[in-house]
Amino acid sequence: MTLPSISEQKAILQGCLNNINHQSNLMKQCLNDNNLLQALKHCSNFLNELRTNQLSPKQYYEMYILIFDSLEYLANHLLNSHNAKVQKIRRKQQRKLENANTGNNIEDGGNSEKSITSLDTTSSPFLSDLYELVQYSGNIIPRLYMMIVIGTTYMATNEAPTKEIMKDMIEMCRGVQHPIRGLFLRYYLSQRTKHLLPFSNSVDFNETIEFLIANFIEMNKLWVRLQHQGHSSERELRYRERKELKILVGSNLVRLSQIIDDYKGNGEEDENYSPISFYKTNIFPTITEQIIQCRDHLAQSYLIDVLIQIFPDDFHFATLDNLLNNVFLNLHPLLKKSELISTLVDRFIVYHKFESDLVTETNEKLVVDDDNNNNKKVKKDQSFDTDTSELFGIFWNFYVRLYESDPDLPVEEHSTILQCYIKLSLTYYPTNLTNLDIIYKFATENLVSKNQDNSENTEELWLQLLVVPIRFFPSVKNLFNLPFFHEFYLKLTNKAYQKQISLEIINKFLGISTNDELLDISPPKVEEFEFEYLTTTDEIDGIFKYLLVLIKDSQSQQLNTSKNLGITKTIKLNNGENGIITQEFLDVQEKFCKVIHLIETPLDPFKNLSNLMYVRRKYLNKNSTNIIYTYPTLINKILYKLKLIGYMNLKQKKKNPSIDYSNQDLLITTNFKNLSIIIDELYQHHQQFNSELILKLYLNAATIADQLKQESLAYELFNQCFIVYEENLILSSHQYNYYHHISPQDSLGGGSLPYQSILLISNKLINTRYFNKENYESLITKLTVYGSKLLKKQDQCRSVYSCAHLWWWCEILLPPGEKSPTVNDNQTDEKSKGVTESEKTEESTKEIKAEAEAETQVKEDEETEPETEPEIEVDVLYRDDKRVLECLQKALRVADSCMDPYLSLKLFIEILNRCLIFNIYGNALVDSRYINGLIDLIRTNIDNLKTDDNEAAFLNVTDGGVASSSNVDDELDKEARLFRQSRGVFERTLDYIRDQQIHDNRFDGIIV
Amino acid sequence: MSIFFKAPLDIDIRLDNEDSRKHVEVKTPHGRMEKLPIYKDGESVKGQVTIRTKEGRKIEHLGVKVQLFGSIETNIDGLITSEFLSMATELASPSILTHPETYPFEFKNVEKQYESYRGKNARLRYYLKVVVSRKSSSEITREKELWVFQYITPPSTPNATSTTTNVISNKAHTHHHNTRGADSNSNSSPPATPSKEGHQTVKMDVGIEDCLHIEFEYSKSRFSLKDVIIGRIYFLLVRLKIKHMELSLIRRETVGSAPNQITDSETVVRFEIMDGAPVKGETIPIRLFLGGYDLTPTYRDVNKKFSTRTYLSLVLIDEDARRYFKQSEIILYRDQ
Repeated sequence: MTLPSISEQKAILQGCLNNINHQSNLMKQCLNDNNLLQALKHCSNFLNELRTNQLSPKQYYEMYILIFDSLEYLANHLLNSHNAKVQKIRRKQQRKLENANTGNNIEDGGNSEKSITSLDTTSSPFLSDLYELVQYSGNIIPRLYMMIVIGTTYMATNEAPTKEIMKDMIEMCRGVQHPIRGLFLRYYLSQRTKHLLPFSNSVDFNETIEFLIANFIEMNKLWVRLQHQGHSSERELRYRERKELKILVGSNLVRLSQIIDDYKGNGEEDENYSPISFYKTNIFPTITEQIIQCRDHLAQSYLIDVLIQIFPDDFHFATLDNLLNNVFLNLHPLLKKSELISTLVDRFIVYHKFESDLVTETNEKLVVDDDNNNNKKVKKDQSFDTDTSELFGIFWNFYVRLYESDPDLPVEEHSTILQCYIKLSLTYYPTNLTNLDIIYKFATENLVSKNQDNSENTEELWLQLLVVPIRFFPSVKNLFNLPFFHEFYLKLTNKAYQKQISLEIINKFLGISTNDELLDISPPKVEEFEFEYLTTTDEIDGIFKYLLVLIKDSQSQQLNTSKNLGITKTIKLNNGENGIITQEFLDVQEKFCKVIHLIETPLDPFKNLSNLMYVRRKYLNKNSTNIIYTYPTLINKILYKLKLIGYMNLKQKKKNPSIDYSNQDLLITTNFKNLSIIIDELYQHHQQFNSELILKLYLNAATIADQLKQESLAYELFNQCFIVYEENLILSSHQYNYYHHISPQDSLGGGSLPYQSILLISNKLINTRYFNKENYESLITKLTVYGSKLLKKQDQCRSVYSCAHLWWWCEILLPPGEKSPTVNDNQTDEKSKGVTESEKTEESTKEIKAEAEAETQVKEDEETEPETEPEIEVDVLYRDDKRVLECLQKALRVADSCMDPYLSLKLFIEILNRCLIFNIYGNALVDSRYINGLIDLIRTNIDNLKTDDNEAAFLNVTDGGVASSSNVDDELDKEARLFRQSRGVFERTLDYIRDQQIHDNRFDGIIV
Repeated sequence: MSIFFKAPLDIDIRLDNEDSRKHVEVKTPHGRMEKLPIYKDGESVKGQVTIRTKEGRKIEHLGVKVQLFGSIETNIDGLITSEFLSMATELASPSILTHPETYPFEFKNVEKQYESYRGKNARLRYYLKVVVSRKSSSEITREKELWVFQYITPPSTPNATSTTTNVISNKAHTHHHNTRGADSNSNSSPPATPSKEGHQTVKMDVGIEDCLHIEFEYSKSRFSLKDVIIGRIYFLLVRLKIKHMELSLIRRETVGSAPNQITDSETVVRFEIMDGAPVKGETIPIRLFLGGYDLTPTYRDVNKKFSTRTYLSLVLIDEDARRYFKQSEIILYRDQ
């Protein structure tokens, strides 16, 4: 059977369609003229077109549709004329009856009655005669179509022997053995009988079912046979054609399902009728037998699918065991059972959802409704309950048998089936995890180990297997109860997949939703995600054993894979010196940090600390290059906890000084030491590029240690800061480029890294309050010395005058009633010297100072009530006016030694401002005389610069404005601008002094 | 009858109840359709003959008679007519006709042994012939053909006991038995009684070795002309690529006897019963209504002159348009 070419086919089809149209028009004309025989002849003519061999199924279908419509017209006409005839006869009979009655003749009446019956019998044969008549048609296709159209029309009338006609039609259809023509013919039969099938009593119902099943079986045979038609090279084509035709076969099953649905049993006749058992005993075995017998791949997969889809779920529950073990196992070995399983499971899952939605409603109903109406429902519910409890068992049995019977089943199959099982188990037994464990155990033992040649694909399948429950579980912690989950996870050889799962877990844990189309069962919706804390080491192990792979993953590897994947988005950290990493990598690290924050034991901070340490020791330090991303979080978290503990400790000490707290103190100390080790570890690995960060960590730790009155610890930690500074920061060999672009003139613009570091340290140091004096001074001296040794003059100058503040505390920063050991020492050791002196000076400016402090210093300590008890304040603050002056002097010297006169001028002005601050603070050594001197110095400098050649340019710029400035040399212009700026600053400073003198009586004696 | 001269008399034969009598349409040898009244065996043939002179002429004749003939015409090396029935009645003695004259006639209870038949090389006809004998010229004749149906009550019905039917059915049976024995060897048990035999299922195993093996089965071997052939084909082995399958009914007319016999076959019915290729195990139903076709009952050696038989032929056509067929005779009879 070779089909003509496509264009030829089109031409043929067009020819056929034209002819059909033509003939069917002729038929309609004949029908309108009441020329029935001629009409049938035309009908037969167009039906003849259906005998063609040369069209594809689609084209054939096109023809079929056209013919179907024409035949409907015929059927309607026949039915109408039949009805008209019947009515005519009725009327006649009535008239006769009336006549008989008027005649009052009993015998006549009897006769007329007889004649009624005889007429009745003669009335129906109109269609039955036609039914016989069309059977003279010489060709079988037109003959059968006409038989069906007339037979079904006949069935639609009341007096037809419906079942006989049905039987006859379906029997005669056997004559068409050609697959396509046969399929369409039987489809026509099925379509025409659709609404005519009798099922008013159980006998009729059974016969209807038989009819449908018979038609189904025959159609299926034809459908399967189509595959073997024609040349073997056209196999693919056949396959496609069959796919197009599948719906014809499936329609039978659909009808079957509808009939069962429509038939509600016949009340009195069979009380025990239940659709489920009927299906189980009468329909299921025959259909599945047929499906198995046909041994056809397409047919089996499609029909089982249809079977699953169209019959109600209760039916499947009832036949599940059979379906799986007797049917699925006997299907075509190459058939993908997983698809079927998947369909089935999906249905069950949907059903379950639906059912659970209903449960509440029906329960209410059950209570409300009368008992008599509920028998069925209750029965149904019971069966449902029993079924579902064994559901997984049945499925699992099947799977094991499948595995035994076909050990070479492809991995995809296993994976999909198991995935379905997981979904099933999760839906039906959300709390029972043993099922899942069974699955993972099986997979671990039998599947992964067997497939040594784990290709990427198979692994990806396993991956999906693992992902499903993660997404489903409301909490990641459910995984802890699945020991084989982890084993199975470990069997994955491809790290990328492990990572993917780990990421899933981490996302789940952090409540990051991943909307992936992979999973179609949505986990039970949690309205608001609540973070779960990891409180025990077991829990930490539970999570982190999956995260280990991510921890170990280093940047370079990550980069390689990213290159492979063609991801181009990368990030340069630390000016590219640290290598290039991807955004994804950073995201992962960020997630780690989030997880670290979730390691939390709210009521037991010590336990919490040990957990944090545990995480580091066991997991985080596995990859030393990545700790730079995770340790800061860890350290801060530890610090935070330590701070809490320490404060609690201090508070309790205050409350009950009698109790011995050495144990607590010891714990705090050890923890600080451990912390220091952690920071040190970080430092060891990352000092080259991240010492600034580490410095900050140390500083934080040191500050907190100080606040907790752990002096020695704090001292050591500050020492560590200096080490970091000396070892790495001082050289600033790798300083970020942008530091170099900053103008030395800009006092607020940062400066070099060492300068920054010094500022950092000094800012922290100035807040420490619990050093003894010796330690404190050693620290601040050291820092100031570092400052004075900076390379750049401006840095030197600025860090020195900043450090000056270290000798002059302005804030109390202590709980009320406490005294700083720094000052206490001061009192004991150098009581006579510094403090008395400072007290004297203080005395002199006392009034001014008190007011100034109240107004200018926002943070001025009102809690300590400076106005009422200034003495206490003096006692509390560490102040050394000589050192301050020394520092200022040093700064001046440095500024003076600057080569650049403009920069020098700028620095002078900055120092002047510092002096004003210290003057306000009440440092007696920075008096008006000193300040006057400084102002003079600045003025001289300005004058010197004015008299320079630049003067002209300067004037030019200031007078001529912007317009003329374009002529001026760039360099000149820049310097002039700087000079102008400096002068502006100076003028404003002087304005400020004047202003203060007028309004606040400050700066007495300063000549402006 | 002369071609040049018109007959001076009009002879008109009218049969009783001719309008209400059933007629049959048959084809004349010239291809036109002809309507003929139907008579049964043993039925009287009754009517009137009217003779009119033309244009008021006086016609002298030597007598008028009406004859009823049954004759068989065969055509082997020329037309041969033999009469198996001949009856005559004198209607008028010699006289002179001046005005129209009507003569009633009746042949009572005429035995009409055979059915009328028009085949290719054989004709069996019954006709009335009115002859007006004349002195001078040849006699003037007028013929009217009758059509005779030989009704046979189905043998199964117990009250079917007319002698003639028995004779014919017996004849038919013996002959049939022979042919069938030659056709198929499957049905070995010879029927006990003719009546039973006619209703026994006919079953045949037919096949080509290693290519095709089918069972051909139909309900019986004797059919009335209004009957239905019901049966089935069961495919035991199919290695041919069958395209379709049809049944045909073939009428075979045999004229003459052994050495110079002429046989003519004509396919009367062609009926497709299967479309497409079946597979092993498939059963194809057969149902063929005979009533609508122009079939002839089976006649065997009618007056030792000719026979007509009907064969049921099963034809399978394969994809290369090769035809495989199997023929077997069926006995047809006419029933009421």
